[in-house]
Amino acid sequence: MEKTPDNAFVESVVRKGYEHGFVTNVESDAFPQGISEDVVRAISARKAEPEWLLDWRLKAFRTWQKMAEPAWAKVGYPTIDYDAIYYYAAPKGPAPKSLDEVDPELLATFEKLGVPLHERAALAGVAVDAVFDSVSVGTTFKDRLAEAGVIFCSFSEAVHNHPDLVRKYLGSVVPRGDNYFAALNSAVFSDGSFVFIPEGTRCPMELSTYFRINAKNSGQFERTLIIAERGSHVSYLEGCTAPQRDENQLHAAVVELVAHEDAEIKYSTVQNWYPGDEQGKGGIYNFVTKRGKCAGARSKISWTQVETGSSITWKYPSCVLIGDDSVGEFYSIALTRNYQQADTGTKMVHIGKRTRSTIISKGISAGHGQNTYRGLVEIHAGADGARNYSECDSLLIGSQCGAHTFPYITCGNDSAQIEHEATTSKISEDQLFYCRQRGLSEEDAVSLIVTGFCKEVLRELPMEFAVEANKLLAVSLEGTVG
Amino acid sequence: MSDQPWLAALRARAAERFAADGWPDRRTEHWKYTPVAPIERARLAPVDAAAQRAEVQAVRAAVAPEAADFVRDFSDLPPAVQAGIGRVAALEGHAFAARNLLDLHDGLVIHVPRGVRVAAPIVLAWGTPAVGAARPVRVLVLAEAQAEVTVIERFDGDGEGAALTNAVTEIIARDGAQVRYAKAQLERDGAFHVGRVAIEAGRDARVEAHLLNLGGALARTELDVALVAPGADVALKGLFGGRGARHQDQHVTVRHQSPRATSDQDFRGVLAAGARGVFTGLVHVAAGAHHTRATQQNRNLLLDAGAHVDTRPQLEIHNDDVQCSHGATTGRLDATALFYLRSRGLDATTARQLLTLAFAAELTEALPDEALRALALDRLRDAITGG
Repeated sequence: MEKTPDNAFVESVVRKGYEHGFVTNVESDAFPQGISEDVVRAISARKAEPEWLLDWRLKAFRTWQKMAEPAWAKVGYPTIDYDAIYYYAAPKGPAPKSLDEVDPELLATFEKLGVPLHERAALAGVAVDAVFDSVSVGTTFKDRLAEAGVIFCSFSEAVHNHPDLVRKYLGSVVPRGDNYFAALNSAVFSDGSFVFIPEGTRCPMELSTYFRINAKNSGQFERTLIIAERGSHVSYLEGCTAPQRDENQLHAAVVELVAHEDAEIKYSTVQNWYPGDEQGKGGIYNFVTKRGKCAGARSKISWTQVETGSSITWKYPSCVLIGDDSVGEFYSIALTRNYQQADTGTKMVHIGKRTRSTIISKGISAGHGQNTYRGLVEIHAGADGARNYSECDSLLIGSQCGAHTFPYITCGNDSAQIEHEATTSKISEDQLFYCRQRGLSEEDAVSLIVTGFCKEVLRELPMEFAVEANKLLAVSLEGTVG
Repeated sequence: MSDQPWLAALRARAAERFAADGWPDRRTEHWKYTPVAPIERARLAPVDAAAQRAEVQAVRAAVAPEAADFVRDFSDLPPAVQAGIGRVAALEGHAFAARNLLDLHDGLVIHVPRGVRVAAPIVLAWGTPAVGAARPVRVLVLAEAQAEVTVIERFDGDGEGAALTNAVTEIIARDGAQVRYAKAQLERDGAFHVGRVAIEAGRDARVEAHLLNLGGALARTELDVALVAPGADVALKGLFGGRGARHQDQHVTVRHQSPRATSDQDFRGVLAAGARGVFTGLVHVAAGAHHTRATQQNRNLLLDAGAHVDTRPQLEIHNDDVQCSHGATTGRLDATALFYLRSRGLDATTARQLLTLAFAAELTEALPDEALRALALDRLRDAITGG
């Protein structure tokens, strides 16, 4: 093949290693492989869960058994053997009471990842509920949050300390039988985060969870539930990194958001799970159900995601706009290289009057990457004056990759206004040439153009995340251009 | 008179395919928004061989005399021409195309030899099937290298009553050929129409296809385009909608299989109370199809409450050296523009008509036939006034 600068660049992108591929040596306390009612019961028992929750899990498990794995996404992977997965893995020993009791090796892991835990947390002003495999290892800033009346704890703690809230809202946005992976999660979810913002409260700091898959062959099935009461505001950051392994690992999370009247939830994700090697071997299967419900009038839910990791991403953070004048937003950057596949997008369901939604999706494909935007905008008959604007742009780097756009737009109200546009192109020779003649290296030029391509999304990220996301994009694209 | 042996062979293949696929249902992704059940429930009887042959002869006889020489029925086709039937419209996953062959006894072939320019438009006026009948219609347009031809198919109907037209049209434009094609679906109220227009464009061939999908109770036309050689250029334009219990589905697939080909799609819906419009458009660019340029536009106007539209503009691109874009909009008439026209003394209905006709003007103006244009404008005016 002709060796154009582009090809050399693509090769360099493809050769770029995975920086977070280390394994933490902590003894793992795992259940035997496989899934059955017994495993579900055992998980529930280990967490000393109340009867109703066990019952809920079992119902989900029975539903899941009757369901078929979805095949509509534009991704290909070998059949998953659900009996070869460890459904529960926790660091051994009793749960830590405070950060001082946390295994230093775990803390070192977070250190390497740059999670601002412990003192670093104070500097960064971020409260972290770090999920290490399945058990929350430490929660900081509890006091300051408690002062404001904010509840931010691990899901298992919430089950014990705030059972009424959990019971009321669990499955209220993503029902346990919603889809195959959500049903699986509902049956075996091990931990996650719980957030409750009381009426009229503006959460005093940005909340952050750092998910990390560590034990070999373990699935990560966390569950996040965020409730924003009337007139409250919260910004939640989620970052993910997984160590390097040859096997494919399954990650099937569920995130539920509920925004009441005048409340606002901003949910930001930087997903950097292990993407597999340059042959497409290994990597995380990221099959995630994220959905927010704008239950009250004038509520707002905003999803921002930067997806650079995982070998397969299957993820559609959605908004159900029930309250009149409620607002849904989706900002996404998905970068696929090597043999990564991403099928991601959003659903905006307009039910209330004058509901508004915005979708900005930027897909970047390099190497053999396949990047699909799949989205739904649905305007119900009663959604007078609903408004949607969607923009889905794709950038192709190299001739082996693919970029696909599959929007579904359904409109049952004549006063609605919907606009969708999409473009697909490569980095233009003119732009590259201009940057090069101004003295930029090809690599810097590409990075600059990609950052520019993504800027509408990057500017939606909270400050700390924007820096990390920019770095991630640059790292994913960098390499020596020959 | 019995059928030609080649037709019997095609039918056997179709029977196999139909037995394997069966009718699509709501779970079939390509039929997600269009129910087939009403057609099945109507229990329509296929039109028999004699009636089909009579209709084919009547349609052929109505073609303008200066173009009549290019139009043949199935009875005496040269093998090279006959081989074109069923070549472009693949059967896999197309139950109705299989059904078309299963019920088929005769059809029309328009064959324009190399370098020949047919000046007069060839108009095929199919009329409407009898109530309770299921009628297959089959046409092949074969334009040899550098040939030029304009073909117009009309499906008109008056009154009311359930019947099905299952039409398959294949268009093969060989190197440098220029084909203008228009299909006007104006079936009567209560009628079903399922159609497929399959187009293959060769090197530097240019095909322009217009679709007026404005009649019937449940109508779907699939446009399948394959750009198989460099320089091929295909433009698709479609207008759909109306007032009352209508379901109009346009399903477009454009495959760029070769470098330096161009395709454009412009589909617009004008939907009033009771009408439902569906647009699905896929642009597929194969790995080797460098320098592809493809555009796709779907704009929908909802005239009043009770109108519904589903749109799926899709891009599937396996190549970096492309320029592809698509856009879809749905909304009502611009209030400011309406206000302006009212302030200039126009009454509300006239103002609405003016803006609606303007919305569709780019498509109606481009129609290759004056009579079609008048018809389309009439239908649009009806949709606005509720006539």
